[in-house]
Amino acid sequence: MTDFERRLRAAMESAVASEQPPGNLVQQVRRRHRRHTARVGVAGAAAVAVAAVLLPVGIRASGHGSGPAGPHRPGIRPTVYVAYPNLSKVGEIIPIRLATNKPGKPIRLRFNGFAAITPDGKTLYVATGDAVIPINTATNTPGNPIHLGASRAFTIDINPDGKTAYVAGIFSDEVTPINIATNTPGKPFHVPLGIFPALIAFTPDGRTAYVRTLDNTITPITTATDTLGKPIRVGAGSDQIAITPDGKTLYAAGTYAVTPISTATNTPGKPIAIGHPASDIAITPDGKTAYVGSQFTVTPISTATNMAGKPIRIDGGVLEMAITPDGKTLYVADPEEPPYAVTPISTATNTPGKPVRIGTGLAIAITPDGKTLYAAALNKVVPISTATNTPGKPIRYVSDGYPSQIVITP
Amino acid sequence: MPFEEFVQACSPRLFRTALLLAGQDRAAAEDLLQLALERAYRHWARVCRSGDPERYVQRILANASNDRWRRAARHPERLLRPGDADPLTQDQSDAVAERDFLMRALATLPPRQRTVLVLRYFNDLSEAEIADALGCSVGTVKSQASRGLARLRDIAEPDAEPPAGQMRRRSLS
Repeated sequence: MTDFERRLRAAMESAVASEQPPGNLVQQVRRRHRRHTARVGVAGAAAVAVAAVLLPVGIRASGHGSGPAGPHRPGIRPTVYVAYPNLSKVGEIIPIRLATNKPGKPIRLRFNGFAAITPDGKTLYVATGDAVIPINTATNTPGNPIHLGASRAFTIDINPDGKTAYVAGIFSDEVTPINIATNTPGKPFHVPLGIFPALIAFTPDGRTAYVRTLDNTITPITTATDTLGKPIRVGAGSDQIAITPDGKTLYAAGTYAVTPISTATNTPGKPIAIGHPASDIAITPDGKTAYVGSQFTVTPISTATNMAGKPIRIDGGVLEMAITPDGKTLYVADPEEPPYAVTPISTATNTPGKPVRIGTGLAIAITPDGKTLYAAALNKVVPISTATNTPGKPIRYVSDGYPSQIVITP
Repeated sequence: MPFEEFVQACSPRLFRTALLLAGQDRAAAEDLLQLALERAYRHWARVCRSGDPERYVQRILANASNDRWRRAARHPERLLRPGDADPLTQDQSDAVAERDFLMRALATLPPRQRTVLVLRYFNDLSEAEIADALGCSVGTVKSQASRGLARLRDIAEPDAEPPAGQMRRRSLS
């Protein structure tokens, strides 16, 4: 660094060193957010009306699909993994064996990305930022890191065929395929992912992956060749995507609307207006209903008619959703807003039950047998019986920060 | 991390970045920071999962600043000279006077050059990290930084020789 550069740095630091932001910044941001939300509600209706004229009518309704999960896979020790990422220091993954509901020895890793488990339940992969680390779920020991390079390992999604994982970077428009049998990376391929982490959804047959890409598009990827198809235009902000269990329809939920896409033709259908920007989407195991979570509501969409039903009002908000394998209960959680609770919703009547207060946290997941929902927060995870919607004794440990994700063995 | 906790912990640093990006216009900096935080708030769960939410917001801030200045009507740029020091600083020490002069000079740079210099020297990002943040190539970052520095040097040290291998740029564009 030259003397001039040093003086410039010193000048910048000194010029603003004593400056403080306004004291009510959080309130100002929330007010601004409410204004944005209100504006989106009005503008969104207009946008959808225009889109309805311009866009071709899509393929309707997926048929029935089988549930995604059943009892735990034989030969696997059923385990709940709660991830507490930390980039600057060492993060932890807390393994909890379901047989005892006791925390095991933390798996200590420096990581800041997502984790995913193979369909056979044998390996948990953790994206660390610059590498992917395979963890043997039988012993909970990490294997050799698969180095991909700085910022190239943030999200990881595993093909249902169990052969390949797609790893996407943060601030990096590349996806790297990982061969699960050999734990070796394939040739990275360019995908315009944009600022926010990519969510990659696979069709149940694993032949096609879909990912949200720049300029309000969803891009299909042929997994056999890692080649990109033509981007499919969807509504603004369509970050949340989910595929029906029969694989026929993808729903992309965004700021103004949910766009159904036929996976057979990769054409978008008529957008379905939603009142508030989507924060999550979940489809029932029978494929009949897509639930779209927003800040204040959950909107059920019939996949048979692609019509939105009456929004279900939720106290707090909805950032995370999970559906029991029998499809009877949808759980929604908002770890960022009081009352920091998990709320059960009966899918038969679309009525919310009593919220279960957990505390600030970021993750919920349901066991494959559907009996228990785990809700993670700071220093604890709480098992909730899905039969009675009552919390069990919290499983406590010391965590440094907040959880990002819960992964449960199949 | 709850949003409120993040804002409490990181907003002073982010606000100072916003101030430098906005040419020390406090109202513009507050608006810029609010805008960046609101965008992050919409996706807060996922922003948190990055493990480095501050970097996310920093990135949004830098891009929002570029967008804003790009959209704004271009103000005629004024060439500053060392003798143009703010009258308020004339009785202060040389260091303070130079600081204020450099900051006023920084505010006259084209927005992208200013953003690159702020990210490089105030936020300590590498050239590759700045390229990621602004969605441009490392080569563009290098050229913007080089032009920005040359121009600041031109203003601050009009009689100094340029560093070896670096062209002295006299033009304001």
